[in-house]
Amino acid sequence: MNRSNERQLIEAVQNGDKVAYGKLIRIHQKRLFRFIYGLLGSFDATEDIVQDSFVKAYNSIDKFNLEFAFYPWLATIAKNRAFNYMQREEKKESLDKVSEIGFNPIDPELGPLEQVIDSEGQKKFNEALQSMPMKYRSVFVLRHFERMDYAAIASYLKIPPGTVDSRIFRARQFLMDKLKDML
Amino acid sequence: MDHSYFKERISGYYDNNLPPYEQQSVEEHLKICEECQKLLAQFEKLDKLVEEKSQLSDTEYWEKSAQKIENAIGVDDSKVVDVSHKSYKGLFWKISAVAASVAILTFIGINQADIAPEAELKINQPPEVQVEKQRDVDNEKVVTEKTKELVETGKDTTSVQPTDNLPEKEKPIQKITLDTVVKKNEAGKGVVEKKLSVVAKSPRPMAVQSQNEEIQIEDEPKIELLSEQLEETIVQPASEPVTISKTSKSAQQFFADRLASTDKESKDNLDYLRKRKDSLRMIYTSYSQTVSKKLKASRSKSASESKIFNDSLRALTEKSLLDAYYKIGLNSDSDIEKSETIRFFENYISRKESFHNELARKYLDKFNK
Repeated sequence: MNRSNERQLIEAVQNGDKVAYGKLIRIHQKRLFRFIYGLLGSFDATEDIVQDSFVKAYNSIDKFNLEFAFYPWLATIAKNRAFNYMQREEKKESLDKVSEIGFNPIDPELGPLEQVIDSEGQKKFNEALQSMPMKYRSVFVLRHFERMDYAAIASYLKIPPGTVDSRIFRARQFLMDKLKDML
Repeated sequence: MDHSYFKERISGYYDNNLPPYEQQSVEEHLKICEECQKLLAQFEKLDKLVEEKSQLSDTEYWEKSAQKIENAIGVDDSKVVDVSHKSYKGLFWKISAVAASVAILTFIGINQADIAPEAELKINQPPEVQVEKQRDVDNEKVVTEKTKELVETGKDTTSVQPTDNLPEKEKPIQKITLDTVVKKNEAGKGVVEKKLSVVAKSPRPMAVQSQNEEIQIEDEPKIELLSEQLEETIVQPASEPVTISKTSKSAQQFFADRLASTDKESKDNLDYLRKRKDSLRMIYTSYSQTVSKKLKASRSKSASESKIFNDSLRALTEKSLLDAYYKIGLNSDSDIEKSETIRFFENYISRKESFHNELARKYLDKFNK
């Protein structure tokens, strides 16, 4: 979908067209889910946050500036919620602390996850990703899933660009080690 | 620089995120270092693997998830009615009402013969009571009424036609309609008639008294009056002279006055005509000077449609203006007004765009005579 089509949809939503928002949901939900799942590693938490973020974005759609793309705005809403969720889960410790110690929730039920991650290769990759410390995983997800450059990641996570560089390097080494038989 | 320095920068080099001088130095190092070349190749493979394995499958889950969000924002609010919150407080009353209705209907059914032996007949076979009226056109006042049949034969009496064996006074009336028509009676005279049809909605008895020329309704029922039918029918003048019957002398006078008024105007009417003429003249001038020029210049379809519409308005305006000028010129004592009228007619006839040249010519001839 090009920008002008998306802009038309958003304008329609701003004029009260809920069906147009349904189209936006279907366009962006998978990408958003992959991003948030990459950060959290919890299917249920990701599902809740994605749905909640779409609702929040809809309720704030009047404030959305049509000059910008919709997804980054939506992703920021979801990312903030994901970090809030992590903070709550880590007994309200600071985000930096969460980032340092990592966040590895244990998903008691993998049933729903199998709905969207069905192949063995996908499962193995996600297990490897979720076993990665949070400080590496967050930059890795932003770089590989969201295709953000280092400066944007630094700004997004409020860390120095040099730190982004080194963390991405460590994350790649980590995954190469875990998935060496697949490479 | 040692190997570890370059190794740490291979990731940044792969993402094209190093400063230009570092980017160049890593590139130079890669030419001679096999280990760093392998690492770079591993990054490429990992990138492809991540892209492939991080994709989420296309399953029904996404549609269900989207629908869940849509429900949360109320996309289907207009279609789905949530009744889960409704209580059953009113259920007792609903059941009671139904039970009471059944009891009443049962009671009526058992005692039908004693309660209203004729009511059923009225409901099943409502008699058609039709009363036709003649109206005084001037005073807009009902003066006589006739049954349909009698009006057609021109007799001046009133009667009601029953359709069953019920007594006349107990006929239910369902609705009243009133139509105005002009008919010829047996003597060949025109009669202005108002047709009043009375039919009741209610089975309650209603008396229609048709004594000579009046109608009275006792015990007022629920009457549906079709007001749009009360409007007078516009009667075009007949080609042969229509003589108004003796029952509507004032109507005869009305038409006579109308005919006379085409040429003779009172002083008040003359003043009114002057104002009307001035207003129409302004519209006529503006049409002539602006609208028609613009429309002539444009060739688009919409402009063509607009031209047809505007031409219709112009034609009406010009006709009214000619009439006004003619009446003023004919009735005015002022020579200035008379000469102005002649000038207007002459100018109007000379214009090619004029719609009513013939009429203007006739008016001018008549006026000159």
